[in-house]
Amino acid sequence: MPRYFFHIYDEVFVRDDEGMELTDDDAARRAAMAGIREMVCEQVKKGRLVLHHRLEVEDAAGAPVMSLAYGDAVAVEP
Amino acid sequence: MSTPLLQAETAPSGGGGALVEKLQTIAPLPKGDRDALAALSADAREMGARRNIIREGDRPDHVHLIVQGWAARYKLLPDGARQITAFLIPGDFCDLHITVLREMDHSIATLTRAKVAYIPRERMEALTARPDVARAFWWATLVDEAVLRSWIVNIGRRDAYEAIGHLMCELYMRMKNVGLTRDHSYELPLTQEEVGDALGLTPVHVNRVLQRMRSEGLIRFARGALTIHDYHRLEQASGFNPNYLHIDQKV
Repeated sequence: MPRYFFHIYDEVFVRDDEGMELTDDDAARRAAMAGIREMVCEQVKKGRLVLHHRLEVEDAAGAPVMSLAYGDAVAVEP
Repeated sequence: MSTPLLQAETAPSGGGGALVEKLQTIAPLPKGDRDALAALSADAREMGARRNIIREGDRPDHVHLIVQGWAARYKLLPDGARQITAFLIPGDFCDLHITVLREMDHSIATLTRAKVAYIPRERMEALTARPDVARAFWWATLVDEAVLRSWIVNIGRRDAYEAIGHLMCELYMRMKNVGLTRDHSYELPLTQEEVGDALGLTPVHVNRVLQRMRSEGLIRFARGALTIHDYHRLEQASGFNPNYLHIDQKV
């Protein structure tokens, strides 16, 4: 299974040196979405929501696979 | 992935080391008891990493003892997600009285290369005829239950940062009690995914928290080993109180 790395760009840059073995890009997208939603949840619990932070997914060769803004992972309604 | 950096240097001598060390927490055991316990580890099986020791639905006809390496208790959910419900380190039994049950309600797998002793029921029964051993076994069982209680509190009431910090403190104390720490370092051969599966967190979130702990100068976590730079601060930050491990009776 290919390995994907999930680098976080929020207040700071958090490099993922370990990565996760996942079946394909779709599985990587699901893992990215789940990660973003969980971090957003914890922010919201503390009364804060920042939607422009990003998660960048790379493959084992370091090539970009996808870039997701936190806002892409949640539908926000007034 | 996991490098047993510290294990080789700090492993207690003799196969039964960790178990004997652990079971003497409440009181020293007579030599006959110590020898009988140490003998359990003598013919332990070598196992690779990520191998099932026993699976949900299997009939438990042996008691398993982790002699070397790490294992985890886990439950698989219908959607394939995994919840780890315990980490097992050297000296830990996978349920002392499990042979009473007809089938396993969860699975146990190695996380690293490991040595696991398979102990027949009759042999365990013979051991519990020794009063000091029986008492030490009860202590171990009660501590296992206390750890499970503390995990419920951890998952239910702490945020990700506190929960991960709490787990690191707990594993530090447990490793220390079997002689597997050096200063404030110990082998912690867990992936972000495994930490997440134990705490109900995504690996991405776990990585975020670990980075925060590093940047605050609390820990170093690399190549399967954890160093806690500021144990007191980590303990405070995670609300860790080791009372439930009942190891203060030693020393």
